[in-house]
Amino acid sequence: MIRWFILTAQLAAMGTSFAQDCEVCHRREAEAARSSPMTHALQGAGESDFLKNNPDLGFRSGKFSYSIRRENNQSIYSVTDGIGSISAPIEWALGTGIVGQTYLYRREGAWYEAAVSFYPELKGLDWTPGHTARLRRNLEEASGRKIDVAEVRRCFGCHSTVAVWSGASVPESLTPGVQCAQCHTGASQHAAAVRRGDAAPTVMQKLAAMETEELANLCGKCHPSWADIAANGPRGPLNIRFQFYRLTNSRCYDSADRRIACTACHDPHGRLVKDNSSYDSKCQQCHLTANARAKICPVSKRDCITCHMPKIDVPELHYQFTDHRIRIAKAGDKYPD
Amino acid sequence: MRSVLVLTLAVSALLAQPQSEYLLRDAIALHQSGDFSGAIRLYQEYLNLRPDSLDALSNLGAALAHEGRFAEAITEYNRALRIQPKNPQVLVNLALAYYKTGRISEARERLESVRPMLPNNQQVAFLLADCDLRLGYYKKAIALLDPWEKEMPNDLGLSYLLGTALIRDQQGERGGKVIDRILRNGDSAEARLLLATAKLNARDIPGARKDLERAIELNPRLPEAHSYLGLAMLNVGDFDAAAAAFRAELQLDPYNFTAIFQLGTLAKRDQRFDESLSLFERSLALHPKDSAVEYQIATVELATDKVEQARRRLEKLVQESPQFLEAHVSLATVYYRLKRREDGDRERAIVRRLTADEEMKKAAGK
Repeated sequence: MIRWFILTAQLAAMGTSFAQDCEVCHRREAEAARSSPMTHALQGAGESDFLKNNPDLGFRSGKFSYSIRRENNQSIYSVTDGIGSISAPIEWALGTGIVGQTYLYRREGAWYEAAVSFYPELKGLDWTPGHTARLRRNLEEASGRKIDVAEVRRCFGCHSTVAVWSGASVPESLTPGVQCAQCHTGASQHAAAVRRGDAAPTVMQKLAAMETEELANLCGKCHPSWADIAANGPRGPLNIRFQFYRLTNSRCYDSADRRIACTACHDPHGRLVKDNSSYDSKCQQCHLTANARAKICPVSKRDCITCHMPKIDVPELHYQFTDHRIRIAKAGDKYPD
Repeated sequence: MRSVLVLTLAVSALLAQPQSEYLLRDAIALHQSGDFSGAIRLYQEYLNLRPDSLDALSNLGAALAHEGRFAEAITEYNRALRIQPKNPQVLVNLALAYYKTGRISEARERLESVRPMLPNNQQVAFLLADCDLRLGYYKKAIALLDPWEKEMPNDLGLSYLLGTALIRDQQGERGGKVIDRILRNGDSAEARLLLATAKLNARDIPGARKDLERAIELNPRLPEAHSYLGLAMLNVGDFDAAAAAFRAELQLDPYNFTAIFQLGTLAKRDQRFDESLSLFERSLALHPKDSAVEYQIATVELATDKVEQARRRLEKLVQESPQFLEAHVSLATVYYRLKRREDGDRERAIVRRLTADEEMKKAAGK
């Protein structure tokens, strides 16, 4: 009883940051989430380590020169064709930087996606995905892609938590990154109810109990789902980025089996585990003993994913993606769509 | 008493006949002098006395159509056709009225029925070909126009129609020759639109955009140019510009299917679901049973949690169009939402098969 009272008092003293609110009870998850890349999916330009550590970035294509220069606590994005130039301070950096980081800026009230992004592999700039083949007849077209309000809302809808809009193209408030409430619907009401000392009416849905397809739909709100890619593409190696589409097309995918759900291998609260052998136990959940559905690998019992989930290079993105289409991959095989 | 009444009626009918004929004569005179509203009034008065007059019904329809009152014109033409179902002139006029109100399928139906009666009528043939083009029946349009091309190789209107049908049917080589023929007559909005259509087919979006902008510069009122510019802008992801282009098309032609349909998809994208549904319903009125529209309506239903409605629509769609990949994808999603896992798995397997077939076809074509 005393513990409950202390807890309620602690929560009452908290601000509105969901992670902090939730941490009072859910310490392990909240601590892990701090280092999760998803938590840092959106940063103000002032907070981006890439921009801070690379104060003078440049890129050139044809007659257009691009630069991102640090001035005080701002990063100024500029494009010039040698005659004129367009400059604007970068407002937001999207992406954790594992693959790359893309920048948003505003000009004359409209949002733009910068034509160039930062790629850690290059330690520099290259075309933002989708910009390589864009028409660049003038400075305006060369500087970036104008994005409409619907798309801006979708950007912030996934890269931040509870962005509040009041009809304008700029969010009134938002919490950068994927915080608890992004996946745990009703988290704020639940935290408020706990603060009042009556959490009973706001019992949260246990996401861990979700079926594989339900979970895929939840993750699929931001990570394009099987349906998104199956209906709209892209076809070919560019769909390597869409893990759930690739996974669903694996022979071993079973919509009724939670051992193949996203969370069977990935802890959404933590960092991405890069040690290949750490996934062996996940594979062996099914492939430990031979049965009607699962065979035993005759080659090895270790580092399963190095062969069965090969890395595929996407030159445009300067990154090697793990193919989530689990299979017996042989050298020289055609990319299975 | 009864015999007196019969006689009175007969006498008044005798007296009414010549008087009504004056009415018709005056109505025709007003019609010919360009006083359409006056003519409409007199035709209507005449028809109160002689409701079965084919000429008056047909003329009234024409006068109403001239005034832009197409819905009323359609009613009068249909009344005329009840008297004489195979009257070719009324059928053509009715087709034109349907065409003007964007009811292209109905216009096409009437024109097809009148074609055997007027096999050498150029207006009927070209209008029917135009309907075929608008409905996506490119091969039919080509078959219809081919004989005319031999007779009128230098007719620009014909070249434009045929070129459009060939380009949209992916017959690039022959289409290119027709475009060249058009271009020999100098730069024109029509030629630019055709070039742009060919470039859109070839996925040369920047090139298409350039030609479309030039076409609109040359003739801002060219039918379909804004619509195609909208499609090009959609392709480069400039949704604001696409919406503006589609709205510009609707200013010129409020029944343009592409513009209405694409504005619906844009409204859906912005999650303005009520607006998108209303636009899709308008699209469906123009192209009844269009599977792309039906599919979009199902996706709106799915997005607004009307899962059962979406299921019914999608099941019907895949039954009618078993190769419709996107419909199978959405149906799989619907089944999983309804916890019908086995049905979901089955639909997913169909999607995989269709995708693999498509890939094989592509590989074979290379």
